[in-house]
Amino acid sequence: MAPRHADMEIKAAEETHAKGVSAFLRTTRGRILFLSLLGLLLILSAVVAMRCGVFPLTFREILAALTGGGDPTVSQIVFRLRLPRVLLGILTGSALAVSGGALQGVMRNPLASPGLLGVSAGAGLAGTVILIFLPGWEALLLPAAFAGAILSAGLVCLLAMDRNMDPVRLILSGAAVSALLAAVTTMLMLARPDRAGNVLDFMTGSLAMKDFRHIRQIAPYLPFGFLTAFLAAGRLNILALGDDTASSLGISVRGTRLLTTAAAALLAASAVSAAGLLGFAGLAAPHVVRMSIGPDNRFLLPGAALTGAVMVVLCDAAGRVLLAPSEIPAGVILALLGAPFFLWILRRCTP
Amino acid sequence: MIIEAESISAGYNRRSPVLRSVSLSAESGDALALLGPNGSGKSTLLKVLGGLLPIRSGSVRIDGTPIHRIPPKERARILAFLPQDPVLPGGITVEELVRTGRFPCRNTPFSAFSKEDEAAVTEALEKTGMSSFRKRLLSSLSGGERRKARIAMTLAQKPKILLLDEPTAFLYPAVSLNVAGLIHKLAKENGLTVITVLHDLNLAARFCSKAAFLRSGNILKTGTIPEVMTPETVKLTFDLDVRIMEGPGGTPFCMPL
Repeated sequence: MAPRHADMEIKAAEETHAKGVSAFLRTTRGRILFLSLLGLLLILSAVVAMRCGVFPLTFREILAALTGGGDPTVSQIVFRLRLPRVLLGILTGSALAVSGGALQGVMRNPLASPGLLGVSAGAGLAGTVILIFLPGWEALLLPAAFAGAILSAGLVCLLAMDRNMDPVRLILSGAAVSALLAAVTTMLMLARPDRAGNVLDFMTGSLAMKDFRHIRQIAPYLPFGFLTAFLAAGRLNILALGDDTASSLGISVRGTRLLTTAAAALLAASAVSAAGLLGFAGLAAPHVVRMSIGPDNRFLLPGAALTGAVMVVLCDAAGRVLLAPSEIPAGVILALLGAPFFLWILRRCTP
Repeated sequence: MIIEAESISAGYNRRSPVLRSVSLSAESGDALALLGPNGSGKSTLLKVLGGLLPIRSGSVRIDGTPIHRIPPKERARILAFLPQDPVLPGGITVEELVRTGRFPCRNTPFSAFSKEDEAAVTEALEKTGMSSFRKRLLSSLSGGERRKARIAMTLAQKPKILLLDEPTAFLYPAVSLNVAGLIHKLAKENGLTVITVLHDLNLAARFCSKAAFLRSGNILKTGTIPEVMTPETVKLTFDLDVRIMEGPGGTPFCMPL
């Protein structure tokens, strides 16, 4: 099949080749460099976030505290307040972003995000039940929210089950279950308006008042979620070519969907139960990476993890500084600053 | 390799089977065209042959082994399948698409590309005339180029059996002649077993060695092109009156009356 006007076609081909930086970012070397830069950015963001707050700290003070010396008050602030917040921000941000990225791949739908599985509605309902019916049992809040998130994700998957686990069916089941659970939550809140305020606190994604206990409670689940998602990345790439093509290449479409969705649910449930739904990180972080280095999930998912972590850590820090001494929840900042930033990237990257 | 279907029934729901007791076989060097009106079960038959759709009764065998006994990944090293309207994500390059064809042959998706993988990709691009498009994004290609890139992906699999569902749909005559010529060459020169759904009787008559005529889930007639390309078969299958004339290269040519 020789092209008829070979010269013309080659010239046309060269003209529409991606050029310069964007072409470099499509090569393996470029992608690894991009991921390394994201890693550096995350370290930088973490340092900045450690410094920001009601008591601004200098880099030297933080370093002294971390190495076991320095002012005891500073040491208290670093270990009790700042460090757990930054760490939890990194964990929840990366978990939500990988969850969103994996779901976008599995559903072949750019609108997919962790909320799709009903995790936030499930966690919200379970948390509301605890806050309204068992006041004083706040210690149960996180485990209950986690259980609620996992249960509703399980219900959504069960409802969507058929031969190949059709994505549209899963998305619509998720929307229906979320609506149902949210309605019950609202009913409960209306029944006990005196305690509804606590619920609101819980439902806005926020890292305020979080400590190492929260990290310890979700840490055991995260490695499973991350590992499963990363190992499925190659198969997700094939799934992007359609169910028939994927099965003809020897992939179990249903198995891959089920496993990846389960991993995404585990990651989202962990993050949501600890910090509420920082929803925008899960939707936007994978897209930012996809627009930069392309849709190859083997690079996209790690990139999304780093981007999501940076987004949450920075937005949490900004929330502490902007209206100090009062705090804006990270989830609010994520949408307030993240959405315009995301739209700007979207406009720049769409030809 | 020989692929044979023996009295298979299959379909998408319990009540109405799409295929009713269909038998068919093809071997190395055959280019077998599946011909029939819309809804006659061509695509369903092809999916069954590719092991993508469970069978209700009967059997599909590759060199005597029932297809459901072959592990999927091993099957993918033998058999490649081109769906009727493949999903093609726009954000990847032609090369990245063709490289996914090597998936069944590699141990893990994370291992490095071997020389053999690289050679298969280059060869597939050359055979389909897509070499100069290697670094282009799929979203920047025309429909015909995209289809050729997707065909290149199936060739990169280095299959022994190639199943194609309407490989020439939406293509201009020159390009669809190219694709049909490639099918002919793959069967004749490379010894592949090719089974392809085609909507163009004359393309089938000129470039395929055998044909099966389907209607309402039954095979009405199967055999070599000169045997089956008759006005009676065409009338029976398509309700179409034709005159068979001599086409280029002495192959039959259907002229609708």
